[in-house]
Amino acid sequence: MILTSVLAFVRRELVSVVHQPRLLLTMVLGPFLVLLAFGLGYRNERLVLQTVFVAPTDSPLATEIEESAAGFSEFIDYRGITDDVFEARRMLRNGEVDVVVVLPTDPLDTVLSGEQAEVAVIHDKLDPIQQTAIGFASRLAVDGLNAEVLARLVGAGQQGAQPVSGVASQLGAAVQRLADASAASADQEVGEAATELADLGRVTEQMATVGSQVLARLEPDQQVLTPEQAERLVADARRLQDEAAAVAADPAAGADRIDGLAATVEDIRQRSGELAAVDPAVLVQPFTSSTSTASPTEIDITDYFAPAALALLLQHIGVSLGALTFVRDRELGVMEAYRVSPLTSTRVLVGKYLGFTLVAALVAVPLFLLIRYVLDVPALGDPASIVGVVVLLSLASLGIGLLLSLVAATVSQAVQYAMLVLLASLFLGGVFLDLERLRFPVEIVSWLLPVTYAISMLQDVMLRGRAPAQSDVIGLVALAAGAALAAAVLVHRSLRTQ
Amino acid sequence: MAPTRRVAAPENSVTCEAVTKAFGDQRAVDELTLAVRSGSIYGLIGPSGGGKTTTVRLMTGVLGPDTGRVTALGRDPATLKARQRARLGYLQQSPALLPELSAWENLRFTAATNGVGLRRRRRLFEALELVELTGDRHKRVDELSGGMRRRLALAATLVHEPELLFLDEPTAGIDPILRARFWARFVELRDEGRTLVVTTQYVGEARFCDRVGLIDQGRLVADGTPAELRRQAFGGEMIDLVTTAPLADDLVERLAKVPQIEVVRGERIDLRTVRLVVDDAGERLPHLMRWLDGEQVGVDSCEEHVPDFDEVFVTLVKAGHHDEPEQGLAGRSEG
Repeated sequence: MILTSVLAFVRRELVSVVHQPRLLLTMVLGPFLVLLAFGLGYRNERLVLQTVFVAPTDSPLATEIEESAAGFSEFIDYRGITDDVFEARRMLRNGEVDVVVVLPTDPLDTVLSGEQAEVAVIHDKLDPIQQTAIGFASRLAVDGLNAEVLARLVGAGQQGAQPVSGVASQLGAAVQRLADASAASADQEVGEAATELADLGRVTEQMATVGSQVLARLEPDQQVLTPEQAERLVADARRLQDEAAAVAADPAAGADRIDGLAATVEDIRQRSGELAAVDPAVLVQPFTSSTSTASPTEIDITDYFAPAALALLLQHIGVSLGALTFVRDRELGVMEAYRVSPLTSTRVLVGKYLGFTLVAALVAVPLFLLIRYVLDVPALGDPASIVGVVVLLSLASLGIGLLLSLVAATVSQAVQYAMLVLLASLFLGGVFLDLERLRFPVEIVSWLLPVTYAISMLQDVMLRGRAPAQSDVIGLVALAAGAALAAAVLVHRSLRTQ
Repeated sequence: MAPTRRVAAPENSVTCEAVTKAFGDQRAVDELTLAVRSGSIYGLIGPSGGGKTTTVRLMTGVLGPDTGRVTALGRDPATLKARQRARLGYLQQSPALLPELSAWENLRFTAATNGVGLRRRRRLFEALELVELTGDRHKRVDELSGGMRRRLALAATLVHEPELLFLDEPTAGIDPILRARFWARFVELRDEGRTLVVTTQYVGEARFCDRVGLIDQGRLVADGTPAELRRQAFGGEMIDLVTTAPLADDLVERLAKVPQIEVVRGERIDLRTVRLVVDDAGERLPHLMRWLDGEQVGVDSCEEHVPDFDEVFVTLVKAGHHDEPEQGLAGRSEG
């Protein structure tokens, strides 16, 4: 008798769906066609913002921008430069440009006075994602601008440091003469060579000081050019002057100091050489990046969203079927008939679970095959894992739907509840937005949505080719079990005498 | 008035003892006591909203009483085990059918949920034949008319051959010919030893019942066999006397005082016709004929008048209202 009554529900749910071939077709083909249209129609290109710059005509940045705007950022489509901010705003209003970048009127003075010059970015996008993208692109562009300007400054610093290199070679010759004179015990020549060294040291100090002042303007994170390097050069030059002056004052003791002088001169030659040899672009942008995915295959936008679409659809089918079933039975008077019949809450629940899971499978199998073989979405992992995820997802979704059905007073109320779950899934289930960004109390809602776990699990299995994360499996099993238990209690209660 | 006797359970399939059920402030069933003998048809008749459906729902265990006690198959219906509930059949007032399934699939679903095994094809056909829906068995329920749905619901109630049937207005919306067929089937079921509790608004159908309870405003206004109810309604049995010539008033007055006839009440219908209420029409009729003959009254016809149940019903309901004038219609709830 138990099997007969359980099978009655399985047959009933299956027959109900089979009697509605259009519904079945819609459930399978609908999501597939949406994904297909998305895959075909979505332009998987970078967001490139049409940008107009605003700067005074005599601004030192105006020429800079015109010469190198195209290279600022791959996110910016350079649409010209104007000194009229109102004209630029008009262009923004009329949709002729996406972004207006207002450059500071007197950037050098601001920068040289030790403050950062502000670059204002104006846009009229409402979409928070686009706003984030604009902020990101703006930062890249400003970084590009900074880098460009800094590279020129560094170049200038290096040019300032170039004479030091020339002086350094003279220093080498002077040290050699000093050594020769000292070896010949020619005190007068020793004194002359030492005086020459001291003069060269003074010249070196002055040049290095100019260079260090320029380099001191650079960002702290560009340590390769920190003022310390230039300061050490300055310090070396001073030490050289002191040591040379001491030799000039006492030529007879010069022999003891020659090695120290030679070492100091060598230091100066090396430092000036290092300073001039570094590419300015490398100095201001010392790092570059290259990215690659850990996934064994290339993932395009359709591939990425396919598991989410599949999970979302199966959840919605489960929740909707579940949400309508008891409330509809109640409205049709069938629940009252159940109460008088030999049915128990367990039989009703098991029958409905089995029936609806088969209906979900009727939808899931063809939909998955279409996604896999027509849209060519990869399914790298174990097929058994995919089946397992689909079954678990269906059970958990059905449980939640059944709970809604038992709580809802009318069919329309149950439909509203199902739509709320769908809406919550879109925003809080990880379909579009990263769950990492959710704060704690709101996170709880996402934990109560089967799709949260299912998307992660299907992405793991299909796109990464690995087994679902254990935490996801535990979460989904717990959700399915909890919902089933709560539904069982409520069904039992509703089949009791009122 | 509602009887207050206590009922004995063993020979009764259903009992209600001083059962009260209220919805909010409204008492749908008020101190109701009755018993349904096993192997009989018990008819619950009464005006719409009088409490018939609530009474049936109490008997099936769908509802629990606020006070009082209900038994079905000797137990509180709320505590019946699955196997015992399989012996119940319940036809709701609104057919509980699944509109997206065909008539056949509905029948099969109900049979299966009531524990009828896989070899049920014959039973399904028999049930469909009874309600004349064999030819329409592949139609979806939402393609059937209201009457056809009602018939299908009845077939679904009978398909598992229950021992105790609760039929809430099984003949509503059914044509008279099929109604007669239904009642013939109900009588057959009774003759097979099954017990039926049938509610109806067709008062005339009370004649098919072994016992009838008249419910109004949640109270059992009358309870008895159809004959007992007639007697209860009019104070006895009726004889209609039609004479060949107009009857004089003094003759009618004298007739009412004849000891052998024991007229309870007399009512002049027209100049030549008078209706006499007596305790037993069959016994009094020969005495009446002899008296008329002695008085040399020409008789056109003199026979027992059997009032239809509509008349009985109206009279009893009116009598009930006279007994409880302050209650009015306030106690009415669902049907």
